Amino acid sequence: MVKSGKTKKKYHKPTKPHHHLNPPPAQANKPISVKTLPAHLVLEILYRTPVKSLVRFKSVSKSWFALINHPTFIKMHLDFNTSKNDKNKLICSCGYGTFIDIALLSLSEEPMNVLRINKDFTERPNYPRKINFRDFSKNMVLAGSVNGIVCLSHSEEMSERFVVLWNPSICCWCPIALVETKSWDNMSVGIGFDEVINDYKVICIVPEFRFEDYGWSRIEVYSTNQGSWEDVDKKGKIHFRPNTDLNHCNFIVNGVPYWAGLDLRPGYVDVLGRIDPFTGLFKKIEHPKHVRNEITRVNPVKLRESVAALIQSPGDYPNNVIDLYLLDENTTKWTKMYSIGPLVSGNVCEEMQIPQCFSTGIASLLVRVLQPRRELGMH
Amino acid sequence: MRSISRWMRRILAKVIEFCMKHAESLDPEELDAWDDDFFKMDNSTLFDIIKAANYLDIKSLLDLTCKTVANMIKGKSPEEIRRIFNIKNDFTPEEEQEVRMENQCALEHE
Repeated sequence: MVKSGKTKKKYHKPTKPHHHLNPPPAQANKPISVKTLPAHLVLEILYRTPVKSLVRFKSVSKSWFALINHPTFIKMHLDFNTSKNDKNKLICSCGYGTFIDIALLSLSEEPMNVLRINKDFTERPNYPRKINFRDFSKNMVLAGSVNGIVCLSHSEEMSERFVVLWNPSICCWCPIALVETKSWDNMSVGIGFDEVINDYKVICIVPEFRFEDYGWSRIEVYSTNQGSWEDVDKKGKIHFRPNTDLNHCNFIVNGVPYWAGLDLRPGYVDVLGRIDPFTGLFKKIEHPKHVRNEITRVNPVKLRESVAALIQSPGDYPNNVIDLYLLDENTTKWTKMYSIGPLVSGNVCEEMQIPQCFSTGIASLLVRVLQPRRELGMH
Repeated sequence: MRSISRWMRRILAKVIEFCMKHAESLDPEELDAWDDDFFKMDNSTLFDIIKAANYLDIKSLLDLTCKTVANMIKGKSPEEIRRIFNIKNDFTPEEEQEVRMENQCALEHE
């Protein structure tokens, strides 16, 4: 229980016995009373107010401006509005042909379309304004999202290339220009949240293009607070090459982006890489130790707020089982949780696509062989 | 001997009415409809109920009343907000204009 510490002036006035003890002061003087709420109760109301309105309320007064901009308030508002149910949604980019839809998918509801990008459109009549660069609609790729901030990037070579940060709740676009003097070919984009200084960081891994540097990549980190790319010297080169079929990080866990890729030393080894948004440092995480056969595949995924690995067909011989491992982010050690399966009777599923996991713990595996889609419940 | 003012009596009566209704009925739909009706009151009373619910530590009432106020204010202009919360505008016209310009993208999409 939080009590307000306001004292009312009338306590100091001499009172006659039959006077009411706590008349609201305004009512005593004005017919139309305007009550003043104590600050902590105004906060309770503002936590329940949508972001778009809060942005508008910044111009109410200087103290409201300071409050709404304050990182602590922003975090409290975010925490207040992020319930378990919200995490049921997966924002993804889908579609063929002319349109790409960015939508929220959830198990319990219909997919909710957030933005439709028409790839053939050079004019953009329906798009939110403040987009002042060309061709953003073509070949946009969804890199990921953190705390509701979405990162989009281009996937193909263009004369001018951009990465965009987008806040759907207030429809605000923030294009980020890539440094022109550097090469950004085949870059893989991620987004992370630096908890230490409350900063959203755009993190790119750019593979080196020169033949002699094959297998190396450089890291570029953009700080949203600073509005600029950080100065990364030779330390920014890593012996890691992100898988180029995606142009973005595989997933983001606790504000940290993860990439699946190759460590070309000593041989071609599949690894998982993470880049810490605060330090900008890369860390290699090896796959869990397991026995392989010719069709074994390791799929790193995000499961709730952890990193997991789904290993298809582990063991000496091909099989229909999937092993689930969870990663301890501090020790970078994997723990096997359980085995799922056998999945499909009869044929071995060779064409299994990369599974995606909802954060409630339900994994969706796309199985091409027998059925278009198959879902498994997991605890 | 202390007496409870007429105003305070009115607020307490509302709070008790709410608590009794929510104690006797468990049907969420019925409660939702009843709540919609219950919260049709002026801002002054809404604020008083917020204060009372806070003091008496009735979380559900506090939550619902705050939500009601939040829904009511969400479409409003800064000037209306100032009137509702009795806030003085301490921006100069130029400063206020600057703040509005900075947040143009949100303003455009109401």
